[in-house]
Amino acid sequence: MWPLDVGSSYERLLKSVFTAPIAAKAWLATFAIVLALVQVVTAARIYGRLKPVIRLDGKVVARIHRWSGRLALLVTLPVVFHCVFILGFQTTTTRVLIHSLLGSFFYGVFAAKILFVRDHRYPGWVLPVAGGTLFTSLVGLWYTSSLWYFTDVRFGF
Amino acid sequence: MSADSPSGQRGVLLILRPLALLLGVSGIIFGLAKAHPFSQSAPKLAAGASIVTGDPVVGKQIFAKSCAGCHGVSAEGGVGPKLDGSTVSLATAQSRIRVGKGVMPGGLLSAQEETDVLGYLETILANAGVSEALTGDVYRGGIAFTQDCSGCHGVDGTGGAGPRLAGRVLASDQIRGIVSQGQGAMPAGVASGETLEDILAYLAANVLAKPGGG
Repeated sequence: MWPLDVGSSYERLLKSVFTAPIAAKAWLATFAIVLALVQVVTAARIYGRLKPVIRLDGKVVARIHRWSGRLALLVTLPVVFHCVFILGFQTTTTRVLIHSLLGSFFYGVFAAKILFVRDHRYPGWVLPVAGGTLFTSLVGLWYTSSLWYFTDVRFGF
Repeated sequence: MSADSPSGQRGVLLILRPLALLLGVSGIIFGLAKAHPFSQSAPKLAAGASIVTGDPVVGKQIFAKSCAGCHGVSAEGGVGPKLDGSTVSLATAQSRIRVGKGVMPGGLLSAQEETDVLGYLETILANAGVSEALTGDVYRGGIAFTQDCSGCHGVDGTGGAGPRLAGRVLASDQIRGIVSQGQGAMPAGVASGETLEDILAYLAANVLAKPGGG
């Protein structure tokens, strides 16, 4: 019976803030998207773009990039717990199937991206491509869940 | 530069490492998602508990806000099934609200909202609170249950590898859905047709909680 208890505890925790776990999931994923946008903008600045727009020191930008990434990962953890451990891989509709497939690959892409960050033997274009793929995956995940929830079900906490 | 040369081997390794990482991590997530070990597919009703329903007027407002998008403003149906006059039981409706089914996600409503919506549904469902007349044969159902179900649910339905059934409130069409589609470790289609109806009759007579209490 322990699986049911873990799920119930998780639900109770989320319902202390949100009306339902799915609402929590939608908002946390939206927060992750905002942080991912910060990631993209700061990455562009690190690569020498947007200098006229972002007039911050390079070290500060790099620090914002790292911490927004860490926070984004942290924010996705409750979402992934709900999706992977409670709901599971589902194929009921095209939307759900795409969401399940993207969700399965998301952390794989993330792990590969971290490898490219740490290992400097890769060509310069690899890291932006990996980061772009990760961002695109997250947008796809958000589009097939949070946006669907906000537009087709309910926009609220 | 050949693949056998040290630099060639390094190149291959550089390609293989992220690929292995990508496929390995994705595979683990996929495996966990297939197993979804904390799935809450069973309704959370205590043995013998009846469905608690709330304010139908408030429930109708919540229904209009959260459910009408799929089930229609007057529950006439749309993307989701028609509920007005539907023979679905309140227990099944509650289970769908909590767990979801098909395109319907679970957990759309808070506990209070669920209670109120059930209060509204009670006013529009054809036989809310009325137990379904089962046509199966209890005796044959007992034999089929022993053969097909008791391995996991226990000879007397008290559970084992599968969840406990004894004393629980489960709607017949909810059981039909689980048996035909499978759930968690339970494969789809363990029983069907007449055999399934017999098992339902046996469960209703001997294992599950009787409607209306005790």
